[in-house]
Amino acid sequence: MFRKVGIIGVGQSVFGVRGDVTIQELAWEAVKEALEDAGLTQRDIEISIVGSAGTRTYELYPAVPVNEYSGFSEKGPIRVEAACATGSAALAVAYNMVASGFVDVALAIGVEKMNEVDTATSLAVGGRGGNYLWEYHFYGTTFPGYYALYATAHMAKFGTTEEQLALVRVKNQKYAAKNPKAQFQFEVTVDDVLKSRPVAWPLKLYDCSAITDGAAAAVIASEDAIKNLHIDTPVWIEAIGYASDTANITKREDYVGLKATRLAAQMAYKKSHIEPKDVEVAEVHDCFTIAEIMAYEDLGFVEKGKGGKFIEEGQSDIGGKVAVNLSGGLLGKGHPLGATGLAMIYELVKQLREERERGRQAPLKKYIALAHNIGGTGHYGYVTILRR
Amino acid sequence: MVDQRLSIPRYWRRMPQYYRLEGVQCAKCGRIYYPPRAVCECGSREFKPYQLPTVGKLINYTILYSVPAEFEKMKPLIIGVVDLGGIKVVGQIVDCMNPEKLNPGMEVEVVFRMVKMDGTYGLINYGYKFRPIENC
Repeated sequence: MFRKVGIIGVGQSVFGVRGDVTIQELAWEAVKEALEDAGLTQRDIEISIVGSAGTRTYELYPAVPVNEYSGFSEKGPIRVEAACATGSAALAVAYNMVASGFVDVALAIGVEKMNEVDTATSLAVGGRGGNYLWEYHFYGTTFPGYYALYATAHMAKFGTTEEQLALVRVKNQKYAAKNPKAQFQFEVTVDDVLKSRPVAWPLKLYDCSAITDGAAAAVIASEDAIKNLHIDTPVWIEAIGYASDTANITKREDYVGLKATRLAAQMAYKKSHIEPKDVEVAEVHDCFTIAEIMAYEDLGFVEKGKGGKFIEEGQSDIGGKVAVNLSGGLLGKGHPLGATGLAMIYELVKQLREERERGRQAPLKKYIALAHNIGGTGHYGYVTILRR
Repeated sequence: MVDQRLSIPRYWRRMPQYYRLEGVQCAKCGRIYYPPRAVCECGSREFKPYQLPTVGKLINYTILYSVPAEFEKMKPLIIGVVDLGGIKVVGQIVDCMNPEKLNPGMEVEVVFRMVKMDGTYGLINYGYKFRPIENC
């Protein structure tokens, strides 16, 4: 029988182009904040899990230097990789280690340095997020291209418009502008998005998340440890749902949603006995604007095909059915692959503790939050439900 | 860091798929696989070659303006997923002067084209691409 597990400390570095630090220094910014937030020192941590996709860095075995620099050289690390869902995979491993009784206090670290290669290389790496021989090698697929295939299918089937896609970026920038740790701290208009240069039609530059360096971390502990450590503001992990899907894009059943999201969400809702309508604040995987629209539907916030209307009506904003991506999302805050999943947890823990800046704190009654993190083009899916 | 050329034998082994869109069909249950695989979902390892149809329907598409370096000269690159008799295949859409006329559901046919030069002195890769049947 699994033990109850809570998050007792969270940290996040400033996201952006972080040429000023090494990967271990970057990770330490998040780890330091997480330890201080929990009121613990390195001695209290029994194992560390380091998540890093590691596809765009010169430190090809990042876990050991990160771990040593943060002061855990005798405590792990276990290094995990799940493309853009790496941070959530790190949390899932740490959660299972605590829930199973293997340890009482664990640390999940997510870190990524993506600006150590040029944009062309980054594009080539992303294009391989599928099945290299059958897709990228011969036909030059790119990562924005994969999501664009979903966008044109969604637009053709449900009449979703480029303006509705743009509204996702407008909303997320509104909150990124208020987030001192976001990569892009400014607001944009629908027109700015529509007029930005085309990358993979129908996706323009502002429909896409950027190349980001960043780190995030979470300290998690068992219920007993939380009592013994006298932590008074734990945020409980109610459930983690996971799923995956085919490598080849051609083997997907349809292109209007992500099966990995649907399956992971079903698992998380079932395990936690929480329904989509109970979720008050969510961080969803908006690597592209279309991804956020599909997430509304696949997570059950609105029925399939109505995601465009959902954003248009303001249902995913503060005051709507569920406040989505008040951190600015991947679009506004940045998307350092390994850190993203844990940065979602960082944001939601702060939201549930009502510690957010004026104008981007979700109003809460039930204190239920959901994090949705996708790896690749729906290759991995993680849905984590939190409650204070 | 990510430069990776396809060795000549590796490319030759895939010619039936790249040139003729040849998949495999399970001799026991009839399931079709493209790209081919060694064991069927039914457990059988007996396959016979299966030629995919040469006319199909466009499922979705995108027009790439940012492309990997080796495709720079073909910009913008149109990529689509095509349904060939129930089997989905990804590839470039060519001979389309007016991409705004592309529409999911429209008919496309398989054509044989040069795909790319694999490096300065490397192999010239050929393979299938798709062309809209109606003028586009």
